[in-house]
Amino acid sequence: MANLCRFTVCAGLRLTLLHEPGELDQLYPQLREEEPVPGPTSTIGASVEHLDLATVIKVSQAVSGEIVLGKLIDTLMRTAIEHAGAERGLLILPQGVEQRIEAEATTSGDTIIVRLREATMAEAAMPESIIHYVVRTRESVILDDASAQHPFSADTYIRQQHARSILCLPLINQAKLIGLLYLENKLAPHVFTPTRIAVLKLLASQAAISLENTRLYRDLTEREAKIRRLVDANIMGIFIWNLQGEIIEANEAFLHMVQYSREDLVSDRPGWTDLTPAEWRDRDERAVAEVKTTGTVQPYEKEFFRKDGSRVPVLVGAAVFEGSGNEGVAFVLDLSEQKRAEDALHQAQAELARVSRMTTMEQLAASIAHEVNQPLAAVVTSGNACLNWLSTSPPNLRKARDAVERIVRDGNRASDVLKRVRALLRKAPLIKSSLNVNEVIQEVLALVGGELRKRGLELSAELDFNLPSVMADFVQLQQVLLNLVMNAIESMTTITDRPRVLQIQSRLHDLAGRSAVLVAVRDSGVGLSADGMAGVFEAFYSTKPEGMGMGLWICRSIIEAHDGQLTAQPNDGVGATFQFVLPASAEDHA
Amino acid sequence: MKTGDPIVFVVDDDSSMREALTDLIASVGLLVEAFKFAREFLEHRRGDAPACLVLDVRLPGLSGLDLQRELVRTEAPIPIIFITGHGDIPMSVRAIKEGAVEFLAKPFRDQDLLDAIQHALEIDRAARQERSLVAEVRRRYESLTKREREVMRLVVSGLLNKQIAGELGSSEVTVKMHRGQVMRKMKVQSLVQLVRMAEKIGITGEAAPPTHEN
Repeated sequence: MANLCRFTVCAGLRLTLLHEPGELDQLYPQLREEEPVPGPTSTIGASVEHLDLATVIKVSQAVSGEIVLGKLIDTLMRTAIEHAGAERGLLILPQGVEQRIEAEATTSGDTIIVRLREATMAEAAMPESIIHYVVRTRESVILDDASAQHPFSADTYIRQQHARSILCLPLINQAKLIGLLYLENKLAPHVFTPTRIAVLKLLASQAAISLENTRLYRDLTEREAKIRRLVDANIMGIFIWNLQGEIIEANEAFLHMVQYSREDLVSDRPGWTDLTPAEWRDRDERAVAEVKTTGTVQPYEKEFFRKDGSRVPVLVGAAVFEGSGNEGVAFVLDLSEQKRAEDALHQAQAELARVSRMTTMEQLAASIAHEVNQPLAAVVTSGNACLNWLSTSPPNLRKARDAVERIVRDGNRASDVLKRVRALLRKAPLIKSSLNVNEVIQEVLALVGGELRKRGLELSAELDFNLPSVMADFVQLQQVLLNLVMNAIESMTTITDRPRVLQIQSRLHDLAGRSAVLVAVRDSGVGLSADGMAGVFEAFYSTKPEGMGMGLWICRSIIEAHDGQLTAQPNDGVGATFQFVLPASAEDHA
Repeated sequence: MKTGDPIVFVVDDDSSMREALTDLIASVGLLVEAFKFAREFLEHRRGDAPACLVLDVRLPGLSGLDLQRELVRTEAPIPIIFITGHGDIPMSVRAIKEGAVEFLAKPFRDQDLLDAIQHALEIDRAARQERSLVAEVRRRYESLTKREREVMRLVVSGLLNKQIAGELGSSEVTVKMHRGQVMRKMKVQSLVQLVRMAEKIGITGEAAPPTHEN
């Protein structure tokens, strides 16, 4: 009796260590009786063939109905304890290479307590050798009386805990070990009878499937959550598309970019093709071809229409869904900010270039102004003093004469300053090269482009691209043209009742019988009076309140240093035209 | 140069401008004295006459604005008219804030300068008068005895003789006598005049010690 032990292998093949099964039954007929076991709850006592179908279905449904892992395990453990008459149960699931205790069920009176726990094998009380055996062989181990002699007698747990009935079932789904169910009863031997085991095996296989499904479901949920996170974080626009041009789903970020609401998406059903401006259709077609051959679209820049018809610059990349070929996901990054920054940078650079070119001239103008201003102020003051001396009675002629002498002296001094500056400008080393005035014009237009846009001015350029080249200093010529253009722009700032148009023209001209190039800057601004015409190129002539009146004077000096002419005339209608003529360079005469 | 006649000082480093300014100012019959450097003007001892200064902003060494700051600190500040070849707004704002009378850009209209000069001389004349008046009042006040000063303080704070007597712990008759002395020494006929004088030298009734509460 003491040596009695049943050792069952999973296939149901019963082995006994000491005796043949028949012998056993004969020797210990009491074993055949299905004695009521002092189990915690009702048990299934029918043989597998006679199992109550309802019970099986109930068990099966209970287990298979759970898709949430925690609840599945709970149901599994309860059902197992309940129907097997076990006193304690463990669910062991592999995690990587090691086995971990996932749940432990214990009975206390009539209640079953299932605790979900994450523990290593070492932390939980159980016969490790049995577990290892089952993991290795994937066969069930049933010990009818563990206190008897059997292959696992050496196990520390069995020796110390005196467990009587022990059952360890592998949970297998599609030849894959999903986990282990370990049940024990310390009070009674022979608890896990074949019929109960049959139910348990059914339960185990059902549980294995459910566990696997649940795990897959959990993995899927996790992956889904990760993807959801990406979609819902709205860091980038994401939409699901198909090749018919539809947008099947889109996240808030994308909707925000194109300013559609979720309702619009449902009601208007705007397609990604509808949102694409005509000039980007070609690019999209290339992207579609790319997605068809490679399954993905490398990110490219394009534009989408917003709901209000404005455009948003974006970076788009896409990939088809596996196995679909027709549907896919696209990510969209809003490039508005970058574009704005780029534009701003561009403008800043142009402004910097413009300023640095202007400053040379302005600094020059300022220093000349200061140089000339002193004697000029003295002239005015002496003139006034002279008038005062003349108006005393009797007039103080001696004093008046002194004053006039000072006026002559200071007038000459002012004129000397200008002469010096002119000479300086003439002597300034001109870096002449053969150049095309159209290039100068285009560079200047690029520089003032921002200014024109900012002030809402219209620009019309009529450039003759068959012009001969001229020998000129590029930078100085640019300064002249820039000055003329800025003057034209400023002359139009106060105009509100008519179109404000800046016209720039380049054309062939005749300069004293020689081939020459003419550049005209025409505005529709305040224009020039007859008075203004005469003085416009004089130093200190300015119509602007803060104008130093040096710009045009310097411009003329520069053009004259190039053997050219700078002239101005009022337009027939409104505004004025400033133009300069430069002789064509020698090689173009031939 | 007759002491007491108004005088215009000019500081400009540009000789043409300096000469022209000197001549223009002289042509309207004003006394004028010109300097090339700010330092020269500072070291010059001015007579006792209404004066103003026509000052170029940009000067070598001590600039016009620096000179202005130094003059503001002196006992007898002088009204300043700035002239500049290139006046920028912050500079003129600063100058005006520090009390400049006018800020003119060269070339300016002569009448603008001459008007500014007249205005500045007016300001200086008034300031001088005020200064001498204050000095005179102070002299008179200093001639009062300690007790008379106390009586004066209480009188200008609006107390009646009886109250003053109570305040000082003397008789009404004595107070009346002190009060008569104060009026005489301060050379005033009325209480109103006395109060005005007290204000000029910074004596107010407010500084009075707390009155007796009993």
